[in-house]
Amino acid sequence: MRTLSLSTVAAALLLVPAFAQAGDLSVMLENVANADGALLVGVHTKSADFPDDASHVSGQMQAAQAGEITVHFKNLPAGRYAIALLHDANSNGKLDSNRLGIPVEGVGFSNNATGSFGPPAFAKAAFDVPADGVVTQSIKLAY
Amino acid sequence: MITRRNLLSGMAAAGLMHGLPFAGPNAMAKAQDDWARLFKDALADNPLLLGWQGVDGAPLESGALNITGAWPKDLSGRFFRNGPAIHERFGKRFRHWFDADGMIQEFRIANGQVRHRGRVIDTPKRRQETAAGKQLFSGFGTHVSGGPAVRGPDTLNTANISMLHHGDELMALWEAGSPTLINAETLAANGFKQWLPDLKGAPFTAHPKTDPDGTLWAFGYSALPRPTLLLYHVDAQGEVKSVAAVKVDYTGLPHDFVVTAKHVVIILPPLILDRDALQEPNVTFLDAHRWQPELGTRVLIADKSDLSKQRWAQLPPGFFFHHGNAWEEADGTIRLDLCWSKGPDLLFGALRNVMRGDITPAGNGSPHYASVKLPPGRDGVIDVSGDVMEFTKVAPSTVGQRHNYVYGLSAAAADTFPFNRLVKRNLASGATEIYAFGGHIIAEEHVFVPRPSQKAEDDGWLIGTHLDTQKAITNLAVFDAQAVSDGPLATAALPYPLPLGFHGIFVADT
Ligand SMILES: [Fe+2]
Repeated sequence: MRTLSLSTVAAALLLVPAFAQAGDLSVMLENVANADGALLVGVHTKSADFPDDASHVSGQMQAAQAGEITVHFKNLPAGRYAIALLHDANSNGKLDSNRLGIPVEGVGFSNNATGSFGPPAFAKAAFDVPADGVVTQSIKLAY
Repeated sequence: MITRRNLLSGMAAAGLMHGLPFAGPNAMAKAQDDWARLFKDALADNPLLLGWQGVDGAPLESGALNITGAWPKDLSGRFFRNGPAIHERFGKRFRHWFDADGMIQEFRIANGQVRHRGRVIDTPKRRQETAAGKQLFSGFGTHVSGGPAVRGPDTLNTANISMLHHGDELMALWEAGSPTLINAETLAANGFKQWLPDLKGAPFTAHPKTDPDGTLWAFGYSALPRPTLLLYHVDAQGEVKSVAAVKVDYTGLPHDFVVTAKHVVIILPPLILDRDALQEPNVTFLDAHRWQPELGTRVLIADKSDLSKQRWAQLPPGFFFHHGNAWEEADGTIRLDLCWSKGPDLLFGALRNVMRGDITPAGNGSPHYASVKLPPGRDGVIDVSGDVMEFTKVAPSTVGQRHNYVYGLSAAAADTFPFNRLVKRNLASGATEIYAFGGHIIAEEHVFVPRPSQKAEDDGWLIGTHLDTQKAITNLAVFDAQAVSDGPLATAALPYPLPLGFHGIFVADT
């Protein structure tokens, strides 16, 4: 999760395609530690670089609030997606790491997938959005 | 160390487990696992195992302790100890001595009286596991699958090795993650110490060193995501002066280090993390390490006045936990002492086996007093002819300066684990003064406390705990450091046994 950046999330907010074959996605963010900064929710399509920006098709930014918060994505084209969450507590638009390169802000991935020494592969976090109807993902942020 | 083992197999294994109707978390919690049963059976036959039974985590509190002998009236302050204490949680026994949650043992010493308090250190790891009603996270030598994401070393931080009092802050130390701040009045855990904004979750040794002027030196080692050594320089008031990050090919498992007046010296044993092994199912962090004696022992020497000025030296292969002290000769030769063993057998053997009730010999892990010379510009030489010795301590006034004495624990050579003797070694003559506690007693680290009007290096006391496995109690003993063989000046008896721990500090009343 090198660059889930504020600018690309903002850019993606403008891309709300209205396809005929489209479903809705509800993302419930759990375990938000505090109300500092922003929550970035990125929806990605299949990519070897997941969760890098290249695979990023839609995104939302919300002011953080402690506990749970639900974010809705409308009219996503049917297909396979994965979600990356970042609690950007200092609102600098990126995932901060300490001097050893260990990420130090809250992150989460769809299916609550976890990686080994980094983010999970797309396949572990992937789920289907149907042609119509709503799919829900509950994702626990880990700090 | 960012994720250790359990990230990989974790979620998948959890999914399968929860599908089994008879294996819900509550049902599992009530059953004792096989190591817990093995330990319980072995304890019935061998009272020495009392030291590793563990406690349930309830606070301990004594009244004024019964004292035998005359407790020195001018010794007043608090003696804090730390160590893994809750060896079984939710029916499951840890697979290594190093893995249990830490517990602070406080001995409040005043007017010739002693009172004890014990408090478990409620780390984020412990709180999450308490809430879940089961073990969630792997430890050093214990594998647990199915837990939540491990975000960094502090997810696994058990704060269970030692204590530090610096710049008016009391801390419980682990070594692979941050210090845990401790409220000095309540002894409650109060979050992690963060030395600098970009050092959140950074490792900090369990054995920082304090110069006689109060300056604090420390290191941190991190094998993941890239092998790195951090070198910390903190002034006497607790302000960070500098932290250097040194990229290395491997960190080994350095547990202790030394400082001279001019240098920081970190010795890296050739016990090396195999990152690929970490990916295999059910492999613990410890078992992902490979002993590679062909690499020898590497020594990093950094300049205290500029930590980025570094040189490397080489020593023969060996393994070691605790060091003594270091100083420099006129020509720049660094002299230091440490507890040297031929290999890491203790770590993989006795310190693990004891958790299932087997007290096994130290083997090649038997630690002996050794002295090292590191001449400028050349590789080092080591003299390993000393006697069995571990948990070495020196007078605080000698840190970084030439010292004449080192204090530690020992045992009859045939059974070097656990320890039951207190030793004072005269470095010049190699002579030792010994006090033998007796075969039913396990001695713990003894800390040198200078007399308030200290006149000579050894003008002070040694204080430490020992477990009497016949009476099933822990005692706090105080020795005259100038008459160790005479036995304790006084002993304060607790009404209960404490789990054997690791390290203590004495904080004098001011
Ligand atoms: Fe230690």
